[in-house]
Amino acid sequence: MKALLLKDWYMAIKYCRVYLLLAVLFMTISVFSESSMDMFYIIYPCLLCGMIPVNLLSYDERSGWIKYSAALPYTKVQIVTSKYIFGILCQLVMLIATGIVQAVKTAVAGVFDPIEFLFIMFTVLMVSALSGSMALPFVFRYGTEKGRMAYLITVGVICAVSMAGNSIIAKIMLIPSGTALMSPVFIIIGVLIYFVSWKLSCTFFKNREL
Amino acid sequence: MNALEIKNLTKHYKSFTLNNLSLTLPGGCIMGLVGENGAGKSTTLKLILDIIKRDSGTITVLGCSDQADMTLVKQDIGVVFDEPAFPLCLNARQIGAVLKHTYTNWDDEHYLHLLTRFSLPLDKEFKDFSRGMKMKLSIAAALSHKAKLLLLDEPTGGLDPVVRDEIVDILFDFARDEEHSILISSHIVSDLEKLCDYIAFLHKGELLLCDEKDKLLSQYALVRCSKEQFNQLPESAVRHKKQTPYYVDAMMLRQDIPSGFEAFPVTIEDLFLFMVKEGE
Repeated sequence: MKALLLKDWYMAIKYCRVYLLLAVLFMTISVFSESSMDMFYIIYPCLLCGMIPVNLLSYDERSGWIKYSAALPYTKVQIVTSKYIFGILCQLVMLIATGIVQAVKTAVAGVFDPIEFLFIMFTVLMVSALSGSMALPFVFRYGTEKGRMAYLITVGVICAVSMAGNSIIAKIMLIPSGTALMSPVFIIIGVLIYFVSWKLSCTFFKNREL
Repeated sequence: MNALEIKNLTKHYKSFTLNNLSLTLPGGCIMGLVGENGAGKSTTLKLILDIIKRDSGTITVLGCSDQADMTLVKQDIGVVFDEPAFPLCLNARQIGAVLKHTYTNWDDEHYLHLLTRFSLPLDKEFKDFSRGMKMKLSIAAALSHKAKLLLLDEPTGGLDPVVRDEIVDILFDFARDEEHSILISSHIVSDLEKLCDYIAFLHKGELLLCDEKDKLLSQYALVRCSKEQFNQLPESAVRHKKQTPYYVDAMMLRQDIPSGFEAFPVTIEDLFLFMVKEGE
């Protein structure tokens, strides 16, 4: 597993620099945004990070590594799990980075509310869990070429979720204690999405002939 | 102990069937799988590695027949595919680091020694390697974790004769150890003839023959004669024949060749071509 994560790290350094640039760009825009906590700028970089494993898988397929790795002493479950762990790590790093920026921004503006802040972070975690989780089972089942349709659908969902995010969050915030009540629910939903997606990917990949 | 035992192995595809394959590779030996493109060589290797699912039959690799233990057994198997398949952006140093965490017996010193021997740069990305360099790096990786069995799928395909010869030498070095075995597939029969103790012929998913190379070469001989002379040969003695407007080549067991006929030694390639072409 460590080997697979190391390989993905080397590949991400090479192929995914653009994600870092985009994240920095979005963070910068969010700092100068008039809204105190604009969800789009917080969610979008995390959603993008969720697509990193899908991207890396397509490079793995192109190089033939997918077939070769099945001949090495890794189980198919390890191959799948490494992609999920790598995706979570990328999303967590991005979430922490955007969280710090937003916390500093709201603190400077004098509107920092820790419960509201945590609620928004958990919401981002749940929503960003959708991005990779939706595409990965299709990609593990059909390969990146045939799984491209799922990828496109995922991008569409990401955009819709990003746009809807602001209004949904705003409505929950209007409910007394809404943020405190919904935070654990969002965590559970996020974990469930990841687990179901991982389980599906494992089953699909085990049955796939390389 | 046999390095590999395959019994009644069958795999069906829409347009191809690997049919009831049985072969045994004794420990410390090299076996060559000879066959034309699409004969079933790669399918056989993938089935051994449990990359694809068999329809029926059993495979015992290094004493283990339980598919659940294959991940553990793979620690002792070195694999080289026809298309070297490391991530394109990784260099040899990074590939070594990844494999170090993959194989419990990874030998970093030996890996670096092989890279030096093959004149492979440490910091050049895999995508910038030539085909020969890629293949040598794959072989270096397969030889750096104290593997007991090498499974090689067309390792010399598409390479120039100098690199091919170099790879054959490397494999010879590996096979010197009595515990080391190699199953190598190729349609470049001359490479296999140099290297192998055993030869298995695969044709359209069927095993035509599997025997010791020296036995095959000493058993069979080629008789070139006119059509009239050919008619004098006992029909049962002629195993395979190739007829042209000018002469007939007959593949025969040496012991069955009547006196007065000149017998020429055969090569494994001759034997394979005779068996395959006559079958068609």
